[in-house]
Amino acid sequence: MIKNKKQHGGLRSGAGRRLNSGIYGEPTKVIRVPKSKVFDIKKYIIHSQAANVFNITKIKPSLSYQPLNLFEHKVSAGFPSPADDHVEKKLDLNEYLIKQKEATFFVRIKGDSMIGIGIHDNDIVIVDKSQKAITGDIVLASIDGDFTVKLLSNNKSKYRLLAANEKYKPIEINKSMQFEIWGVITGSIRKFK
Amino acid sequence: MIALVDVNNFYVSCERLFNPKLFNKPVVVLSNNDGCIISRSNEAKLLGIKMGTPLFKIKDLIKSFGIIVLSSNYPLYADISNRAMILLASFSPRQEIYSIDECFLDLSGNREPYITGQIIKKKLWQYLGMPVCVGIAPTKTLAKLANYCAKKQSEWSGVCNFSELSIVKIDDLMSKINVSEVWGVGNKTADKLRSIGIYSVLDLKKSDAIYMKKKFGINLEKTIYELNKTICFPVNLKTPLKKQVISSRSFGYPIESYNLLVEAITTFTSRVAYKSRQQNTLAEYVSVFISSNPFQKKRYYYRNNITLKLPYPTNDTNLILSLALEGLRFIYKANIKYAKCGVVLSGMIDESKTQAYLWPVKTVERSRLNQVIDTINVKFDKQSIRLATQPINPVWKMKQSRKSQSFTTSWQELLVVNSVQ
Repeated sequence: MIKNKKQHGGLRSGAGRRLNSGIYGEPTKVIRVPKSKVFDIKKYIIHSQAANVFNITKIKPSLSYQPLNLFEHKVSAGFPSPADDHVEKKLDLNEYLIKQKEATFFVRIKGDSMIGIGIHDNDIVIVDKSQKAITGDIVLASIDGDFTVKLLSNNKSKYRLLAANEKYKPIEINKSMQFEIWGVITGSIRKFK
Repeated sequence: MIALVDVNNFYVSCERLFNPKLFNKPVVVLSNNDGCIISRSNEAKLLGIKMGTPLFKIKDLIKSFGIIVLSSNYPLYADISNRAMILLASFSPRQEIYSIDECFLDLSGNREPYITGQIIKKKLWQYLGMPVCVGIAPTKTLAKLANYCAKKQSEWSGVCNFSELSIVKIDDLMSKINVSEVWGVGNKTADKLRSIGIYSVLDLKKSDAIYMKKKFGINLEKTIYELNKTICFPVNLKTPLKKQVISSRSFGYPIESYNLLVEAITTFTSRVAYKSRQQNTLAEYVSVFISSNPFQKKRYYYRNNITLKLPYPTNDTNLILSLALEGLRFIYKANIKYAKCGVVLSGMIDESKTQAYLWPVKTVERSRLNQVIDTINVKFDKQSIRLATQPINPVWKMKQSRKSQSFTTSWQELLVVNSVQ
């Protein structure tokens, strides 16, 4: 019995995984890291292995943005940064410009009829379709199938669309027109560079 | 209570959102390559245009009634669909997205399902310009049927709640609806059912479930229980893993050359491999199919397909392509005008649940390479890095002569409004 026991179990030379056969090709070590950073660290390892020459950041294919940190510093070994506790949140232009993202659309404006309120030729305006338009709003409306951007006003329970440029006359909406307010314009974007 | 919400004539409705001129006019949307009709406005339905009709068959009708014909614009439809599904998810934490334009919402605990249905309808119209119908009932099969009723009967203004109707009224409705309208009953099953005297939904509801199980299988038995208010198909929250990934297209014009087919197969293989990587799955099989035009009666109609087992489960473009091209060599016949081809990956398994492969393979290096390529292609342009046999601007590109802009997914194609008008 005792003899048998010795023959079974114990180390067998050559058994098990070969040294450095893991995905990293070198010995590994267990460390404690903050949960929220696990993904970043893994990404860093994979990227540093995949190609040291590339600095790859994955961006989403949708209309995406790179949020900026209010304050960001490099991680260094040694004394922890006293500012770490004070990092609050990232500024996000989407959050600033868009209230109801499922109902928000971008539209490019041509022409100078709204120049008086600062909508220039080629600006992109933000249209929120979820909002109910009230007098004084800038609206995207369709009249007989054509889109237009104008100031909404009313005159004796009739809608009027005003341009913000003296060159253009107000449009009185009457019953014979197919009129619909498509959405409310909540902002505009212009790039200089 | 379960609600089924679906958008009426979804593709046409998306087109109307950015082109108000299309309202109150007959509008149809064509399938890929401008082949068949796949979405119709109510006005077009009234003209008797059926789903799936090839475009050339209704040329005269189009001319005489001024029907507006559009190519399909999937980037737009996918974006609007996403928006709609997010809005609908706000009505219930338990949502099952069933297709691009419909979803089930579990409304259990909701005391006013009919009012919720009305709010859903209003919200989707106001926020997205999408007209929807809502069917509410105790089971999914009944909710589908209620949705059908909501569409057909204008008196309910687009929302039909079976639980507010008397049994007599529901039975009366069911007796007037053809059994083929029941969810999960296909045309073939419907024919068989008619042969044993089951014509209406009511006939099916009152049939003997156990006998029907023997004759038609367990799914029809479940359907019968569902028609009798017993839940057999619960609302499925997790989107099931796609068991197949397909990429296929009809060509803009027929091609004979083997090299052009290689181009197409390379393009489609890159696409399916990318899709498979996006959903973190590996494929076990790759299939290739080619076919000539079935509608050209004078010519010999040839189609064939082949399925090959991959050496190990993978989503590596190169490996899959080498087998796909081997398959193509096998089924290719010269002197045939090919109209369509495609690549299918099947036997999909979850990437994280794979078994270790016995013989060492360089999968890690390959997957890193693919990852780098995917990242670059997302960052710069879809085809910045591609295989050499994949053309940038293929000669066989499909016809999409009447496509609207990608209003919501491309800065270059935004809706342009001329404020001078």
